[in-house]
Amino acid sequence: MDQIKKNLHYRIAIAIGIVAIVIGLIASVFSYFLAYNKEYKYANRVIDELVVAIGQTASISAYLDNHELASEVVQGMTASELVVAARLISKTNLNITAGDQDRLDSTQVRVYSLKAPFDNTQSVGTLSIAANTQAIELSARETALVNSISLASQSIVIGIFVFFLANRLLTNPITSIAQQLGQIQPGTDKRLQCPISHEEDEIGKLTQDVNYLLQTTEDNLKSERKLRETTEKLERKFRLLFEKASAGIVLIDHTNCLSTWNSAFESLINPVLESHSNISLSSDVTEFFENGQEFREFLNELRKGDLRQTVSYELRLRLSSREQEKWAHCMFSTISDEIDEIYIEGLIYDITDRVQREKGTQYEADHDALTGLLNRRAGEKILHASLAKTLSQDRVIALLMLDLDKFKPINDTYGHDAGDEVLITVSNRINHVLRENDVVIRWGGDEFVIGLIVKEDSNPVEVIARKILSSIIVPIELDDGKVCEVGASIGISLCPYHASNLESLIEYADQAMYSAKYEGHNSYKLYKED
Amino acid sequence: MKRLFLIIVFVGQMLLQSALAAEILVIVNLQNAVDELSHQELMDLYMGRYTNFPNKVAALLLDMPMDSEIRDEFYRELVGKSVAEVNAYWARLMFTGRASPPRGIEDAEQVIKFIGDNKNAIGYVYDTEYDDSLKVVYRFGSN
Repeated sequence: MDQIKKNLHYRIAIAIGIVAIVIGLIASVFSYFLAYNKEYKYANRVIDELVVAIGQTASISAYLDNHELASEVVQGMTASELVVAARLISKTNLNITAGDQDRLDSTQVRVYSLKAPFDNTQSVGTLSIAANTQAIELSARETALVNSISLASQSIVIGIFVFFLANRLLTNPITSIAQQLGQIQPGTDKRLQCPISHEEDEIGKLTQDVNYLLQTTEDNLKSERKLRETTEKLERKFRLLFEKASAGIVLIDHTNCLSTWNSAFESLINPVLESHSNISLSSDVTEFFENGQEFREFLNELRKGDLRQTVSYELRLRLSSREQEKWAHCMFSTISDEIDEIYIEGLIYDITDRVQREKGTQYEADHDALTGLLNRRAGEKILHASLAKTLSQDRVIALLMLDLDKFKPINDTYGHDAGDEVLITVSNRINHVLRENDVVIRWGGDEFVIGLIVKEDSNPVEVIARKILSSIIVPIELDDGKVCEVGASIGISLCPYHASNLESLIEYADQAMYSAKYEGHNSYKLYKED
Repeated sequence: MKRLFLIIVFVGQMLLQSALAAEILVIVNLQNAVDELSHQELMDLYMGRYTNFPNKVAALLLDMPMDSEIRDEFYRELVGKSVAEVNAYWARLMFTGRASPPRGIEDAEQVIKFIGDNKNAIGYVYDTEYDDSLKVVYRFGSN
């Protein structure tokens, strides 16, 4: 069975065989009926001829009622193998039968009228003849059988011939091609060898086409391999760029979740993460930074804007512990992929060091190096802002101008280092007396300006001034063990009662301070208009 | 000679014409009960179908010599066959041994004599040879 399914020439031969059998069967049946009909007609003709030949004798026997003659007639008839029974009946009383009588009662009996020998118009009897239908059938069957056998043997011969021809012309070359093809690795330079004497026919064409296909495949594979190598090289470079980049690189989807990130981003974000949690695709990028709400709004705005538009943004990482601040400088721009989904790409740098450096510089710029108090420039700026707020918020600010008494002699007696020590101690004492929101400025030399926000529940300005004075007069122990004393004079102006601008307020406080110094050391005085 | 030959042919023709013109009569003994036979009945007798007259009396059939004109004429008139054909018919019947052909008689004179002596006999003669001592039961050409 397998052989039949596997081999084309077997299948062709079997198909032909089946067709031959079917045609043979139909032909047999047809031939049988044809032969039967022919035989039947032939038999009838032969019987007719027999009757003609023997007719005269039959007529005579009927005419004469001659028993012997009639017997001779009917026996002569049955002697033919085509006749199975014969009966001669005369008009008078002769009735002679030969052969199988039963057959004479069937319908297939030929009855001949016997004429008088000397008068054709006169009937003298009948001759009934039963044809040997069995013999006719047998003969027909034999004819059909012979026809069938000859047809079948013809079919067998043709089948065998086709089997060998198909094997030689079709199966063998195709098998050869298939075997060759099975051994060829696509992409190599191996090609099919056309089977001998098939160069011009369909098999030759097939071989050519397959070879063309192999050639094309080889070319395609070669160029594809080259392309793949290029792509791989490029990909390696890109991956290197992405993974080893010093900047964190992220891709943010429309839900603000991370789509892609590199290891630089991971190490940047690492301090934010709880020890047990990891960075993942579902991480909301805004959760990593302070002012998350603002950041979210920024990202939404960015999505509405033009593509490829790059926007810088500075963010502080949200750190649970109050260790050190961490800052990131980010550059965001929107990009869209093939299916028009909008992503935001982010390039994130750790700028903590820079921010801290900047902050340190700012501190140095704003503060007095010796005392750590605000310097005059920074102090003026803060006071300006504070006064502006005072006007809008309906509150009172007191401006105190403080000048040390007997400071010059200390500088002259104990040296500048001792003077510096005194200034530091005084500064600390003033700070100690004041509240957090109050502003203390080293205005210059041994001059200090103090800005107090006057609240209903806070101590009156007078009490604070007295406290400051009493804290300053406490003797100061220097590093070398010597003890010295200083005092201070304080002039006070009030905003908005005396003035609303800083220059005037300073001037008024200065005038009040000089009048306090004039009236005696260690005292304070409120500005009074002349 | 030539003239003589022409005369002979002429005379022969004349004779033939007279012979053809002569009728054949079928005759029986006066005492025979049969007065008349039909053509069929005559044929059935002479061709051996029946051996008896219609009145069941056995018939004794007489025939003329084999090569005589009258025999030839008689069978042509009776069954439309030549003497040779009739002989073949009888030969076939003789073979089975059941029937016998009519008895051959030398000439018309003998026939007439035989029938005169035998009341069951039946024969045929030209009407020219006939006399009243016999009974005509069938006349060719009359019907």
